[in-house]
Amino acid sequence: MIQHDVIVVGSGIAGMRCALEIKRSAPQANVAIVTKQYPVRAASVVERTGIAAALGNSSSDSVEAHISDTLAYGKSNNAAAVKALCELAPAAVYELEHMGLPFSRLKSGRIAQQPAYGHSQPRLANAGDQTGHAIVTTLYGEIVRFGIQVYPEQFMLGLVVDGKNVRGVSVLDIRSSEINIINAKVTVLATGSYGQLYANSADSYASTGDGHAAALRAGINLTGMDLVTFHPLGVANTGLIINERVLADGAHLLNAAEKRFTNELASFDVVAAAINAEIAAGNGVDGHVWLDVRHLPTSQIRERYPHVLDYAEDFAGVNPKHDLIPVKPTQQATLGGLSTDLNGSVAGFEGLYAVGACANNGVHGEQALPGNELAAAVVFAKLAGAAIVAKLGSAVHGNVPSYATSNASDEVEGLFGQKGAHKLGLVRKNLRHAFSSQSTSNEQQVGFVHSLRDQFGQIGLHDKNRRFNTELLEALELDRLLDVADAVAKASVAAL
Amino acid sequence: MKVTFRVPRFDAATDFTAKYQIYHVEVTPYTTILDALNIIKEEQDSTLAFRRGSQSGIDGTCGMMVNGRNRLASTTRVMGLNATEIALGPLPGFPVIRDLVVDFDSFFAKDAVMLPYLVTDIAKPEDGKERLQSPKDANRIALAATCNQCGCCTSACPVHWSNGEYYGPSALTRAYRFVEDSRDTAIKARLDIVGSETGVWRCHTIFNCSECPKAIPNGENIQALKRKIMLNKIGLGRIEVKVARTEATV
Repeated sequence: MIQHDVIVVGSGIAGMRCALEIKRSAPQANVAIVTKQYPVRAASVVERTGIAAALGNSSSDSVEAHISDTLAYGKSNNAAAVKALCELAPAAVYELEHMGLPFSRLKSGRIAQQPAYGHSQPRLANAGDQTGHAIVTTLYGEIVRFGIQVYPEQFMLGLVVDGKNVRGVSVLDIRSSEINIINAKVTVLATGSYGQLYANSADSYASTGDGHAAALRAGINLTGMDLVTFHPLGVANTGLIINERVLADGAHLLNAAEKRFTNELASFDVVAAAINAEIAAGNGVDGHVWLDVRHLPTSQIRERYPHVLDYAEDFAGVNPKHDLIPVKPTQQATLGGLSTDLNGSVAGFEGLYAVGACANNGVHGEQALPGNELAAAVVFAKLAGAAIVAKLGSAVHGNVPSYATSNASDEVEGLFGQKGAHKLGLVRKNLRHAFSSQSTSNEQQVGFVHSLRDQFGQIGLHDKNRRFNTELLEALELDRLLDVADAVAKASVAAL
Repeated sequence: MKVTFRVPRFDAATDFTAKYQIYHVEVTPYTTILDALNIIKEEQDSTLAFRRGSQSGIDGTCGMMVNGRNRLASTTRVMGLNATEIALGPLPGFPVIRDLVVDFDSFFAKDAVMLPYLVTDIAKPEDGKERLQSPKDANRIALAATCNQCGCCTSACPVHWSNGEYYGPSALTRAYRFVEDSRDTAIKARLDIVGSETGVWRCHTIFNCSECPKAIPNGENIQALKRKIMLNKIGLGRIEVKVARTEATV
């Protein structure tokens, strides 16, 4: 058993920012990060466009304007959370700059501010079009500077719970399949989204809702699980998102006849629905439509959204100057998670916090305003870090129940022993297609998830090797994704 | 189109040499190497071990050798290779854990030696806002800062193969990114690190490392560091120049 004062699960932006806050304000605190990847590979890197903050560098922007844009876009936001987010976002961005984040700049030398959908002012601070990656790399540098211990390639099997007290986590060492208990006074879930539930997803392969499932298994309710947003411009066959700014700049959507079929400047959901309808009506090409940027100057593409060039070449093998780019709607964000207050504390459980995409404090409402997800990740992770420091003095390690290890090892050994006929990969594929398909109703999804859960019980695990067993890892992830799928399907039915 | 993949199977715990396995995969113009590996794993052989991450190449998880060159599996289209037979391999020069999975621990340890964070004497502005940096200065580091630490460059370096202590191009590009940052003032300390016995002078300008998935000219960056070290040795005072430039911008 390993002991730390605080264990943070997940090495994305929220997890690293939270750990950093704890270490910076309480240097004596023994905080560590456990992650199933290497920290710089965290799923947060997929957020490309920018981080929203009313710095007012490019216009007379104000916190009030950011608040009202956020409320108008999200509709049912937690107003207190929005106020905290918008007020604290500028300081959070300055702080990242002070850490050395390579922001794009204005001629004045100040941080550049890009316009974005839903924002009344240019407001996104960006590092080229790799902002998430820049934040991850910068925060990782701080993790190194402060000597915060990181355990890479360790999969969290579950929370260690004693009554209503969370005592840490059980983890599987991916390289050896050994099980360990990390006992901590405070446990922070920063495990990200459940985007992998969708066949077309902009999220990383790692976004399998591990923290969500751990919460469900510990008897913690999840909220807002049906709040999953779709972006109209996913590159077909990958799900990676092309910045919608191309539409504002005059790019066109074309059907199989290479004719425009919708107003590209309408809201995201309207454009996405129009694309789905066009495909359903048989006017698509192999399940996608075309994005036409041929008339946009290459220099502008290179300057504003260079990933368009990379994506077209890397994933479609086309040159956007001369060719059309295949696109279809793709899952962009998942907003459901553990209900927390603004400090990330999970009600009803002692010693448990959640930050980032696995937490839901209601800040985004029904959909996240572009750039607000990154802002929320740093702002609320910092608040959580401060709240944890205040608590640490009185927190105790507590007793680790013996069933924590046996439950974890039962699960892993159970999977190693499975000899059924169903194929893991196929179950996973069917699950993801059911959630991406337009023709599956929410009621059907509930039933479908149940049948896939049955099939999962009858999969065979062919890889018996204990070293870096990626089939075992996939099985553990799918097991959790099925729990999350059930919660999403039921929440969607209840929301109707 | 049907493509043949030749993939080494190896477990460091039990094997001395790799055995090669052949898989046949039906690909479309859009299929990437990572897609093909997923198809193999889903439909043919679930025991094949490889890592996968963001699927966009921005995270650097899926570096591997593809037909003799280090590439990211997620951003390499099979048909773009113009070959019906494709040989895959783990990134050379790193210890193989299993199949296509290599051990990055020493790689990240070298990165940490580079002080991969801003070190500066320039005070934060009193209003708490950002330090100023001209677009030109920001652009000097923008490309190097996109390094996703996939390891393709360091793995391609023959010097790294023969001398595992050599920091390698990835770590040196990280150092370059901070040396070139107008906000950073620890240039002397940084040049001392990269100028040490296991640093830039081990580079024999082979430039394999400049074949970077993110198009970062790693080899050129290393030569730029060498020049900076020499200019400082002969007292051309680049450090002072740099501080002056920064103050002028602020």
